[in-house]
Amino acid sequence: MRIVLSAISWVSIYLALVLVPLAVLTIGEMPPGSGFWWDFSMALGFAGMAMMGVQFFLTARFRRACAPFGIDILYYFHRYLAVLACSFVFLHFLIIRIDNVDALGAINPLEAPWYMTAGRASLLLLVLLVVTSLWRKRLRIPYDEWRMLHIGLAVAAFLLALGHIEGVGYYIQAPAKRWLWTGYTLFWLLLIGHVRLVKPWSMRKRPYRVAEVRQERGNSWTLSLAPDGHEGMRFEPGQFAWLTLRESPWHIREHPFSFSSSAARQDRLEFTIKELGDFTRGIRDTRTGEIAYLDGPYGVFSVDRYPDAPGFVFIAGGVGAAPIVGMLRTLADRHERRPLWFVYGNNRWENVTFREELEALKQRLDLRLVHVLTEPPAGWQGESGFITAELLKKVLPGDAGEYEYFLCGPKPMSDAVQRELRDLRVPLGRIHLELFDMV
Amino acid sequence: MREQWARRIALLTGLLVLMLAAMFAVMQNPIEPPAPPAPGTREQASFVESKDRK
Repeated sequence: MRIVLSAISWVSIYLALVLVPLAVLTIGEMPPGSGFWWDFSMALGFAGMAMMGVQFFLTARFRRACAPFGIDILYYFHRYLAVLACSFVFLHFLIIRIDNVDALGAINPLEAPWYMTAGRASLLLLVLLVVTSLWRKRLRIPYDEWRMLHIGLAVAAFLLALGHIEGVGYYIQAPAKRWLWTGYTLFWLLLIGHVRLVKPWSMRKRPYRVAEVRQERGNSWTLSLAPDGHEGMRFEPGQFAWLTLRESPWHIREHPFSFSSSAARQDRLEFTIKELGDFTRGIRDTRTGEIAYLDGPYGVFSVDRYPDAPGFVFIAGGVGAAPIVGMLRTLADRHERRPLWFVYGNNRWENVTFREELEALKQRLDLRLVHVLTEPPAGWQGESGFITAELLKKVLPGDAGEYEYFLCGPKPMSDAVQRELRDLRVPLGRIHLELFDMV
Repeated sequence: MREQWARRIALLTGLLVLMLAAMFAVMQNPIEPPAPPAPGTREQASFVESKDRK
């Protein structure tokens, strides 16, 4: 109930932040109407601007704001909202272009007033921002470079839009409105300062050192970190943190990884990482004693959120097992007695990460472990192929709908398993997954 | 499930913004009610009307 109330209050704050500028417009003295479409376009421009500001709040990673929803969903929401904001700003421009083209003035920046050029440049950067985010992979932009570009474009588009509104001055000329508008924009600027300067500074005060780098099956490495001069991080099993390795926290070269270690131990934090991209391929070269910074913990993908569940079913593919093994290790340390199932899909038997440890965990937990291989070796007695409804029906208990389900793996696998679970009449609210691969 | 809610709230925001923007524009540009005919024009109006009927 507390989570629901918290969620409702955060959604209300969000709606207020988006709608405040429209309310500000109606306060006190107002310029006379200039036609429906003109004023509609103005309102859309202000709302689009407010939505752009809200983006900085959504991605600021305030743990209290993230707690009821999960930070992955806030990023997901950020994506939708950015497309909406961009559409409203574009509509603002388009309506004026159709309704009163003379109001736009000259296109040439040398002849046009600076604030009109600022408005056009802001719109252009905003479109670029959305395009490079929605199609980053198709455009082959590396993640680290994309993040730098994303932040740069977002801040520049926002500042140019601010300049445009201030320069045009329409609707914010009355002193009360000017104060309110200045206060509102100052809030966003302070927020940007907090995220980009203050937060990295507080991370710098809590460094970690690489204690061990361990090779795992399936082209994966476990990076073990020990807190340096502080007590470490308390987290819920299944959660994740943003990791900065060998760089200053101001460099914005950070990547999200799930904790694979037990939450019962905060003095040694472990992440199991598969070699997939530029950053992850460099994990094997990490040396003991190197510095690391963590921003976290985040996420709602945790058994701790469901203390009354009669049992848990985990379904993972490949290195998606990392947060699940983190949960199993924690449950074993807590002497958990509830029944657990782990359906683990991999391509080959020799690539099954945590294979030996999972066997050992079976001795400490009431755990049914089901390996599913797409390329089984000769004489394989276990399950093979993909994780289908028939397979789940075979390995799960009759009252499957009573348990909480945790899925982690490549998106096609998660989508397919979700559909299969719906076929087995597992309620949607009992299926939990973390959305990592968003850009 | 959480994805669905995120989509719904984003959609709701979009609709709310469009609605409030339209309300703002209407408020700024109220539709004037048709002015009552000036005295002396009534006969002319009824004449036009009767002509139309024919």
